[in-house]
Amino acid sequence: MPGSGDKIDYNLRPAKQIERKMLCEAFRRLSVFQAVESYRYIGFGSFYFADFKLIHKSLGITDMLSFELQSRKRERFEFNNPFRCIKLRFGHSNRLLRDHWRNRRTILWLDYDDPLDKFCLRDIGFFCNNAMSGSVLIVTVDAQVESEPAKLEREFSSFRERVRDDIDVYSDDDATERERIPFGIAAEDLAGWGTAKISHRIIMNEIAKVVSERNFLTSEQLVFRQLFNFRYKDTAQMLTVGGILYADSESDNFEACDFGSLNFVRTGSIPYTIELPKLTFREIRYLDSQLPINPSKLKSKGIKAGDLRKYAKVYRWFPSFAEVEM
Amino acid sequence: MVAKAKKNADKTKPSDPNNVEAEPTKELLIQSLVKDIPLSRAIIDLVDNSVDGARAIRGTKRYSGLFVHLRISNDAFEIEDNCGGMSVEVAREYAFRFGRPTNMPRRLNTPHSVGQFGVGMKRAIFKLGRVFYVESRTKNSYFIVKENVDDWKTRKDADGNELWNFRFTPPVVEGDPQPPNERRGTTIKVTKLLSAVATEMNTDAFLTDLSSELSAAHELSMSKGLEIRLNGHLVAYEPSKLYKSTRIQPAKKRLSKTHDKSKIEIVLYAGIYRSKPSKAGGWYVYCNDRLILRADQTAITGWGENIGERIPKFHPQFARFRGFVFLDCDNPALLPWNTTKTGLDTDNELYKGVRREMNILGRPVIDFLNNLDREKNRVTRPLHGLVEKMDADEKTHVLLTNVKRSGAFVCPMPKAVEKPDSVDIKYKRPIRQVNVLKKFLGVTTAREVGEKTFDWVYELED
Repeated sequence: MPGSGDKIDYNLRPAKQIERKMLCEAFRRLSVFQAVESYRYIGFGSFYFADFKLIHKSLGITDMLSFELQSRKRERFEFNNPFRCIKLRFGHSNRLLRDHWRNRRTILWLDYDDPLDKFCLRDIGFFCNNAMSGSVLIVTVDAQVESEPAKLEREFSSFRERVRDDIDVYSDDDATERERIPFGIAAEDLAGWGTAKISHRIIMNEIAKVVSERNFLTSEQLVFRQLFNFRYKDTAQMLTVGGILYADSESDNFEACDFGSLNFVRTGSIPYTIELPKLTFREIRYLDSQLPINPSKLKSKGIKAGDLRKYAKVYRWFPSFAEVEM
Repeated sequence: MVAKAKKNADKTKPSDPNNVEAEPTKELLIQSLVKDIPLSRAIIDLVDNSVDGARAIRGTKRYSGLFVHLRISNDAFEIEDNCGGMSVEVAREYAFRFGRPTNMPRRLNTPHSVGQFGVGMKRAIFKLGRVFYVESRTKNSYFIVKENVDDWKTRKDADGNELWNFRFTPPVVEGDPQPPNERRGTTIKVTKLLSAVATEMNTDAFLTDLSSELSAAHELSMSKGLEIRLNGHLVAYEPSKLYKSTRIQPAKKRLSKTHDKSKIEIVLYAGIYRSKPSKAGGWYVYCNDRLILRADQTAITGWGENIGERIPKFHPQFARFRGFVFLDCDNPALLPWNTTKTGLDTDNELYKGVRREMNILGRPVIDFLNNLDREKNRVTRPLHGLVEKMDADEKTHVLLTNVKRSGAFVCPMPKAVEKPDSVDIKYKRPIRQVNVLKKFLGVTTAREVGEKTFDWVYELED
C-alpha cells in the first residue's frame, strides 16, 4: 500500500515516469476490447496522483478509484485530488478491492512501495478470481536487497515469512500455510536483481494458480498473458509485472491489440530495464532532432555509445523536467 | 494359427524357464479388498446396490413401497430388498466379477448409480464371512449363487490353474416372466461370519452407529419413500434444513459441467442452522444422492484453504455453518468419490472447481458467524437476538428443496465493525523512577506518567 508519498514527489522519479508513459501507451491498445475511456482504473494515487493525471488526460478514463491506507491524512489526499472523477477510498487494499469491485473491464495498478508480501498476493489473487475478460493487472513492488552476503540469509528468511500464504485464523498454531518461495531458491539468489527475479516468479505462479482454479468449472477458459516485466531504479530497485486477463473466446481481440509490437513488452522472465542516461537539455534537443534513427548512427559530442543507445530506447517517453506544473 | 500358438503357449507355461509368474492370488485380492473399509461402510455398500435398483425401476419417481431390510445376528448377516433384482445376465457377466469391465453395455448401467467400481458386493461378503448365498429375481429372471469362500480360494482346474468363477445353483430362469406375486429383489445372506465381525456387529454401539450412518448416507432416498429397516426397526432420518427468514437467506448456486458428453449437475447451498450438536457443522457432500462426506470440517472441503476465497480452519464458532453440495451425473465414474465412498478425490479437477465454489459461497456465512462471535462480549447483541429467535421458531427451518432463490448468503451487516481506535498499554517500572517522572511532569498518577511520556515521544516522532 502507498506510504512513500511523504518521502518523494512521484513526478521526480524519471524511470517511474517513463514506465507510466509506456504502460499508458499499452493501455491505449485495449480499445480493441472496448473503448479504453470506458475502462475503470484503480490505483494508489498517493498525494501526487501522477498515474491518475496521465491516464485521465491521455486515455480519457473517468471511472477512477484511488485507494489510500492512511485515513489520518484524508483531508490532504482530498485536497490534492486533481480531478472530480477520481474517487478516494480509505483503508487496506485487501478490503477496498472487495468492497468496491464492479463487474467492469478494469485496469488495476497495485503500485506498492513495499517488497512483495502475502497482502500483495491477496490483491493479485482477488483480481485473478474476479476480473472480467479484457482486464489488466499491473503490480509494482520494491525489489531492493541488502548487498552484504551475511545479511542475505536473514533477508531470505524474512522474505519467506512475508510471502507465505497463511489463512487468517485465531491462533498461529493452526494456520494453514503454503510456501511460495519456489523450490531450489537459496539466500544468495536474492542478491543483485535476484529479489526482482524471484518476486516476478512468485507473482506469476500465484496468477497461474488462481486462474487455473477459476477455470476448473467454467467452459470458457481464461488466460493471463504477461506483457510487462520492468526493472528500474530511481532510488530503490523496483519491479513491475503486469499483463492482461482474457477469455479464450476473445483471443482474437488480444491478438489484434498487437502488444508484441511495443518494444518494452516482455512476456517472460527476461525483463525490460528502464535506464536513463544523464544528459543536458541541449544534448537532449540535439539527439531528438536526429531521432528516430538506427541508434548506431546517433551522434552527440562526448557521449558514450551505450548512453546513446539507452536514450534512443526511451526518448519518446523521456521526462522533461523543465516543465513547471502550475 | 493364432489359436494353435495360444494353445502351445498355455501348454508350455508351467515349464517355460522364461516365464515369470505374476498372477494375483485370490488371498491377496480378498485381503486388499477388505483392508481399507470399515465394517459399517461395507454394509452400506450393499444398501447402495439396493438403492441403485430402486433408481433403475423408479427413475426420478418416488420409492414408495420399496424396502431394504437388514438383519444382523450372531451367526448370519442378511440383506433383503424388493428393489427390482439383478438379472441373470448381469450376474453371469458382471456382478460377481472383480472390478467392472469397461466394455459393459450401457443398457446394463443404471444412470446416476451409486455403485460404480464393481467391488461393493464382493467386498462386503469377504469382509463379513466365508459362506454366502445370493438370490435375485427380476421381472423375467431368477438365480441363486451359493459359495464357500474358503473352498473357492483353493479351487484349481486339472492343470493347476486358479479357477475364479462361481456357479449358479439350478434352476436358473432367464427370459421367463416371473409370477407377479413373487418379490422382485435381491437377498444376500452371509454365514460362517468371521468371529471378530460377529462380535463387533452384535454390539449396541455398532448397531447404533450403523443406523445413524445409514440414515445419513441414504437420507435422500428415504425422503423419496424408501424404507430401510435394521433388525426390524425402521431407520429414522432427519432431512437437512437451513434457517431462512426475511433477514437471513441461505445461499444457493447451480452449476453444470459437461465432460465426455456426460453432464455433471452441481447444486450448492450454504447457510446457518442450530449450533448443536457442534459436530454437525461443516460441509455435506453428496454424489448421486449418496452422502459421501458428513459435516466435514477439514481441508478436503476447503477449511483452512485458499481457493477462490480464504477460509479459516474450522472453529467452534462455525458450529452453525451448514453447507451442502450435490453432484449428480449419469456416469458415476466422472464423480470425484473414492471406491469406499467415504471420501473425495481432492485431485479431481471437477472437485477442485467445486471446492472453489464452496469457498466463495461459504465465505459470507463465515463472516456472519465471525460477527456473531464478536458480539459475545458486548452489551447489545442484535445478531444473537436474531439467531436465537430462529432457533426457537420452527417456521424458519426450511428443507433444502424449499430454498428456491439462487444467490449469495443474505444476512444483516453490523453497522460498525471498525476496529477499536485505541489500545491499552500496560507495563511495570520501579516506583522510585515513576515518582521522579511524576515530579518532572507535574502529575500525580502513574497512569498520567505513562500517557505524558508516550505523548512526549510521539510529538518528537511525528
